[in-house]
Amino acid sequence: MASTGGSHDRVDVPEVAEFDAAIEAVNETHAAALPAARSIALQRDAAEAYDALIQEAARLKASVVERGDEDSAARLLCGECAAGGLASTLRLWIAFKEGDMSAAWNRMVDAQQAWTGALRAHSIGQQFRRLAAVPFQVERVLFPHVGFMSVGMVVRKSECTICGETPGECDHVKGRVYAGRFAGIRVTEADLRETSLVDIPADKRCRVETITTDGVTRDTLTWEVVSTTTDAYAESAPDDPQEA
Amino acid sequence: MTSASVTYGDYSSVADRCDALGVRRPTGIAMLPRNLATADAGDELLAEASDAAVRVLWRQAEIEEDRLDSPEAPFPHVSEHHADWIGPTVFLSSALLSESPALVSVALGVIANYVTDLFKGVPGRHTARLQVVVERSNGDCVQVTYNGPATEIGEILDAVGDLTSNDG
Repeated sequence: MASTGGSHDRVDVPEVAEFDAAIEAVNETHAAALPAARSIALQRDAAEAYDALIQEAARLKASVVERGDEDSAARLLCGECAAGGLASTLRLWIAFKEGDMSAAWNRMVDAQQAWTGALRAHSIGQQFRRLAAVPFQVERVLFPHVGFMSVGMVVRKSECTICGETPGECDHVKGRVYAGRFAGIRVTEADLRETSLVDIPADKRCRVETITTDGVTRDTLTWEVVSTTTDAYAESAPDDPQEA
Repeated sequence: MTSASVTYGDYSSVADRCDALGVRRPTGIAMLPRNLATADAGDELLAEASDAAVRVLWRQAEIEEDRLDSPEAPFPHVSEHHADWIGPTVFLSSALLSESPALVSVALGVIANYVTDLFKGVPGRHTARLQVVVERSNGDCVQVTYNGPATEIGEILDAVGDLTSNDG
């Protein structure tokens, strides 16, 4: 993993330099764990090390934000997201190898979101394009096509996640970085409008988990039979019909 | 991979619809409620979730928006939790087109740059939709819709440019 200074664009900010040193130290010890084939024990240790980097980035970011150094804060956010992408990718491999496909899916989505954040946080994030592509390739190659649910709402009140003002009335644009955080919209009052089946949801965790055909319910990821209507009847019916 | 498409269609007279619904007529550049053409009453009007971002971007680019609602009483907005970027319906009045035609490319360019940046380098299929309603000098309105890859949304600038230069 490259530094937050960027290979051609290093900056002389103590917090950024400190984070770069921390990344290099973690990479030296744990980057070997990144390929999927590595042992689960190795990958668990590596994931924890990258978790610690996330905390470190957050701590250093607070320091540069206090000085009003927006660029360094965005660089550290980028590093924070990249460390999150690596930790989630490692946990994706672990869950996959342990056969927990639901957890593997969720970790894959975590990794996709973290890498997307790294790419968006600062222009130096573009150096992570190849690493960022991994969880998206995993989705295409290792998982079946699944359907997703999406909720539609009429939002009556909302606020900017940076300043709390009504979105559009402040100077923060959704998706851009301010003080080391992505601006977003927090919904505070809304009416549910509809739920839909969609192909490309905002949150891929909202997936169709089971599907029932001819009374047989299967897990959409593993295709294992979860239940059948006969099973359901057998479980709910009394043992002796005479007692019913 | 989704291919980009730009389509054209008729749109109701914005001035007539605003009068019918009891909201003020825009005379410059505006963002129209998504259901302006179909709503039965003014209190049914709904903005797009993306309007807020575009509002800030325009303000920062010193583009004066002609709002149909007000900061004190904004239209509720629709939030649909899918990954596509659904842009506002941008209205370009005939007065604006005759007096400040250069503003159109700036206003749409700001949106295109924002959307392109948002998805730059991000793996996966990301689509965007942006609609522009152009008011002719006779009051008729034409709608231009871009639907396609988010990173190619700038194509709508040419389409709108062609349309506005042909208003006779």
